[in-house]
Amino acid sequence: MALFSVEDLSVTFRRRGHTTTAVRGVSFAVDPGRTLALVGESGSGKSVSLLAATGLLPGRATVRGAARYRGTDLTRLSPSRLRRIRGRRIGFVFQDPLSNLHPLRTIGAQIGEAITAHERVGRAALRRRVLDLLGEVGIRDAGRRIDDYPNHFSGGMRQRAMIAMAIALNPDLIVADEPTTALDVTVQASILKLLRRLQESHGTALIFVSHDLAVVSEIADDVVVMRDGEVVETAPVERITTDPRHEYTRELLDAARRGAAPTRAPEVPAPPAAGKAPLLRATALHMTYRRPGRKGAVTALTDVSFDVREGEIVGLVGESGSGKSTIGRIVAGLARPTAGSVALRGEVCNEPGRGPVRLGRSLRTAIQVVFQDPYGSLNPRRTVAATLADPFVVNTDLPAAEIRARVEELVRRVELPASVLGRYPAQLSGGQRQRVAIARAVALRPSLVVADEPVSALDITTQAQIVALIRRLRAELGTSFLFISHDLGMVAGLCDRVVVLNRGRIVEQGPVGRVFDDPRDPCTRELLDSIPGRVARV
Amino acid sequence: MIKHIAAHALRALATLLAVLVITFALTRIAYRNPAAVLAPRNATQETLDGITRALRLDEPWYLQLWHYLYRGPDIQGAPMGLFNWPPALGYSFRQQRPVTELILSKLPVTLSLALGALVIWMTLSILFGVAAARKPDSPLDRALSALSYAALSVPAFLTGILLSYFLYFTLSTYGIRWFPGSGYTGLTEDPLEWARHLALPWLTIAIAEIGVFQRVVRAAMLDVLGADYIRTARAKGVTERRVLFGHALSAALNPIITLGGLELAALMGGAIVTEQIFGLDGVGRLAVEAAAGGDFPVVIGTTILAAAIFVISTFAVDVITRLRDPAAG
Repeated sequence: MALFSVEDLSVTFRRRGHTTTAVRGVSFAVDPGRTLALVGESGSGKSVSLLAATGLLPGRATVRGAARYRGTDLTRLSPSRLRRIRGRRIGFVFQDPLSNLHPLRTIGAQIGEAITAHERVGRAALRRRVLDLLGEVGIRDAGRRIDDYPNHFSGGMRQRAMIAMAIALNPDLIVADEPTTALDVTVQASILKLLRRLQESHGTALIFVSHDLAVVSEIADDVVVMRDGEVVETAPVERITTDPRHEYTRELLDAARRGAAPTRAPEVPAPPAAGKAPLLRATALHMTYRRPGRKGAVTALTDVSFDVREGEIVGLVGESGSGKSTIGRIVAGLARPTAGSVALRGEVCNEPGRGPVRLGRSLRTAIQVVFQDPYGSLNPRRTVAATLADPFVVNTDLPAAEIRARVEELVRRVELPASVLGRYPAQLSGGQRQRVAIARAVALRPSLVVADEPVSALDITTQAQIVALIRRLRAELGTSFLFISHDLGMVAGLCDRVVVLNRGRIVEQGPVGRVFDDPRDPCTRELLDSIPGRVARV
Repeated sequence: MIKHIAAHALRALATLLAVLVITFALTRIAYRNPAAVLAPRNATQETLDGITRALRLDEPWYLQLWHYLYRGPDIQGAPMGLFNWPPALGYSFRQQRPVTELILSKLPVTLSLALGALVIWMTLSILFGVAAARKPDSPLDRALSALSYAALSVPAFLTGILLSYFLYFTLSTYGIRWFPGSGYTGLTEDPLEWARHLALPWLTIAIAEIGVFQRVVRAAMLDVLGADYIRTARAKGVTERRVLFGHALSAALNPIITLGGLELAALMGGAIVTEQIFGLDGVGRLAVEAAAGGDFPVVIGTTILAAAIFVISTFAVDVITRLRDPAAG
């Protein structure tokens, strides 16, 4: 008998009289000790079906069908009996390890609670067990870190803490919902390794939700491919990767292979300004932070120098904490460096000092930013038209009709239908929002756009479209891009040159082809090796 | 942290000084001829001139201000200004007693009233607010929100009179004397009598505050209940009660503490209407009577007290929220 099975599960949401069906007749099963992967893009109903099966969906959802754990239908259990199964028999690991940890409680308290929710344990014994768990999930110096708050943990360490909570009571089943999506590749590899090791030593079954077939192929025994709330294909992982039957599975497989075996950017004609002074020059940037209440300073950047030429796309890669975003913020004038300077066409636009960076209008509009989270960076209460009109209203004296025309042209340029103009960000998809954010950035024809992880919050097919858009905007407008990413496949496909960072230092920089084919620094090699499926399938 | 506290304390002192100067100026504008207000009705011109000289009302304002700060508005002769040691707030013109002493004698009443009401309104607001946020738009939520608007829109003097009519007057006609209609007994004298006397005033204030706070708690809880870490707590198998009161409430507490501190400070400066209805001899009543009677040392004194309580309360709120924030270190 299967350990856990979902039978003909349907989930509908009601909101203001509208009903939407998120999951339609989904069935799958996992045996003890095995790994089942649910694959599909965002909105395909993977997470919703698991949350519905375990009673974790917020109200207003109607769940039909059955979810059996060792024969007991969880959807029919009373809340208190279901509670006793969650955490003890079924452990959970969720996607974003920051938002999933309580910000005002220590890591130790949160892990300890996973135990005390089901057992009576003395304080000293509890602390010992939490320390053991921290050690088991590979957190070094556990005795010192146990009383830290989540904001002192890196993304990878937070995810390890989440895993510690999930395995605290030795459950039969762990549900891991996109556990590595928010992490960068090297951390992703170590988390996958950890999950596999724990599974082997405890004989736990694992349900692994992901949008990335490359990751899934490394960990799963069986794969369920979902799309639009329905299962389109179920098969052992070998058959899915070698002989996909459904068209959508083939698409996902292609996307995963593209990420693993980077396609080269089409040859770009030599930038027109080659030979002249570079568009942007960052010289010997240093950055140190003081942490409130703690002694000493943290060094974020050490002696970082690089150029961006006219019309060039430069990739900035490195794991989280390597200083990529700090460089982006300094180049965009959102933070001041502790030492060094940034110059645009020979004119200094950021250097050490106090207070915010103040620039003249020409410099201010010359560098624009696109952020990772398109939802957080658009004002939810303003329509797309209003958001896109802002750059013109603030920086130009154009009449309203002219602004209207420019906004419409912008929307066309980023391949959005004119109907989005009257909509609010909440009514747009993630990809559409990011297009709006890009349109806003290129509105005033800047010389340089700093794009900080612009696609990592999007699913794979949308990522490809946004990358194509960036490439086309560069060709049409001649804009240079500083493309910050932890996704090497993406960087290889898009950028002309790449700058590799490790712990705030540049370890390697050069043309994409050279750096990727012949990495000279061990850090670069490690980054390349961590791309899931790269070794296995190229 | 210590640097932050010191900077905050300095700012607070500057605020208080500004409040003092402005109130002083206001009393000079409000009472054109304090001597006439203070003098007996059939006083001769000599008496009036004598009072004017004694209070130095014929001097320029900056000398008067200095005199007030250093010596205090004394008729008796001993310096009782703020810049003296021990600092004092001068002498009441009407009651012939030091202002500090007057205020201290009324403060227990006002503090009992404000703190007791705080406990009642916070407990009920949190219970109601959490219950409403648990199932938004449910019949319970709708009922609580209707209750809240009703409590908000009925003014305190009406609630007070209604409570007093039904729970004091009507009950006593049936011979039930649970709640006295007015008066105050010290907490140290008889705790039960203290609570009995304050029950109706507490309710009067609490009803008005619950109208606001229940909504604040509900909104803050709704914000937090959608968070991923709440789902994590449920996934760990934590009981629903702990999820609501342990995880969600602790994360939702900041706006509640901030607004609560402000409201409490406002009440401690004197709950004028409630004190009046239930015949409580508190700071609010003292201030109103002083203002009506031209007793401006008391007016300045009670104003400074209210301002100081406000400053201390915002300071306390700031320290508490900082201590709760792990990012502030």
